[in-house]
Amino acid sequence: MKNKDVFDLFRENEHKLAEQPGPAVWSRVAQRMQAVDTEQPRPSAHRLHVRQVGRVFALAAAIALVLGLAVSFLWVTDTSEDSLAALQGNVVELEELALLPTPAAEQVTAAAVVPAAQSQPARPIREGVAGQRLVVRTDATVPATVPPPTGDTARQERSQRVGR
Amino acid sequence: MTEHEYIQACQQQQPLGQRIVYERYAPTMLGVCRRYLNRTEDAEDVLVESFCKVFQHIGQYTGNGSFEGWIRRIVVNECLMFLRKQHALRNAYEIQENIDLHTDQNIVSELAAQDILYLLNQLPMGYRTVFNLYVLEGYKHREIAELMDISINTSKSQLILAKKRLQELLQHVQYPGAKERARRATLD
Repeated sequence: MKNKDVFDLFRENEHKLAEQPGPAVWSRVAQRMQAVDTEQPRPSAHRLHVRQVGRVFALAAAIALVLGLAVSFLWVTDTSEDSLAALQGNVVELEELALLPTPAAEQVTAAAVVPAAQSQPARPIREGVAGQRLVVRTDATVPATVPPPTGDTARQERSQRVGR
Repeated sequence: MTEHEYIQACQQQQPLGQRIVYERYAPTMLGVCRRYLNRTEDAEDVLVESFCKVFQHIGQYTGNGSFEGWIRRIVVNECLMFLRKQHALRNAYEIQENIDLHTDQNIVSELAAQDILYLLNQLPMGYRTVFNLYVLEGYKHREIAELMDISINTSKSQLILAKKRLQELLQHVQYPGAKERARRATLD
């Protein structure tokens, strides 16, 4: 008897395992396929193509929508920065920051509030100088004689600040 | 009907084409399923599932390569999926010691279908699956490792152990085919 490797022995005899399945197996396959056909009619090649093209368009529309939203958001935030103060009717001005000694709280408040008569027009912010901050006066501190700035003046101030 | 014609008929979802494909390939594919699974009922369940997949995805068959090979790949994947669902592929491990398999040559030169099934049924599921994939389907250890989610070394170890176990079985165990041959020899 000729000696053979186990692997070869199985490879050479594997085809003997082929066996006709019972008739019930085909019935089950046919039933399943019929169920699939009735549930989902197969789309034609043309429909598949249209569906693929539609998917590409949907993706492009989604990207355009996201970009549009991003641009409009940036535009709105840019303009609202200028018009916020004007809309609220408040005065935008610069206030000098200084290290205060240790006075009472009333003195701090008095030093911080600029009297109406001494109110100066807004000065441009000098870049690189950390001794200033931009403050918005509330109605209580705004003198009645000072007219609320219009949107134009607020924009001019901003242009001065950024140096345009 | 030629192969090209019945494939085309299947792609158009014609029942006649499907029936022809089934009649032609079902026996071979049932044999494949039985190599992987112990129970005939499980093998038939997987066969049904596999042919449904074949008919549903036949549009993906481009004509490159053998059609039987394409169906066989689907059947093997379905068998592996079935085993994974049964958690039968767990407990695969790597061996450290060296086993010399070159001296042990098999004493028989022929195996009947019942012998093959008997011998495969004696193997743990991990050995059996690696043996089937490597020896009978022709997969590489790297591919087997990916399919079974094990390391390449584990795949190699399982194959060595499978071979060792089969050699032992063939030499010492009176499997059905051996008994039958012995009976015939005494009658002659």
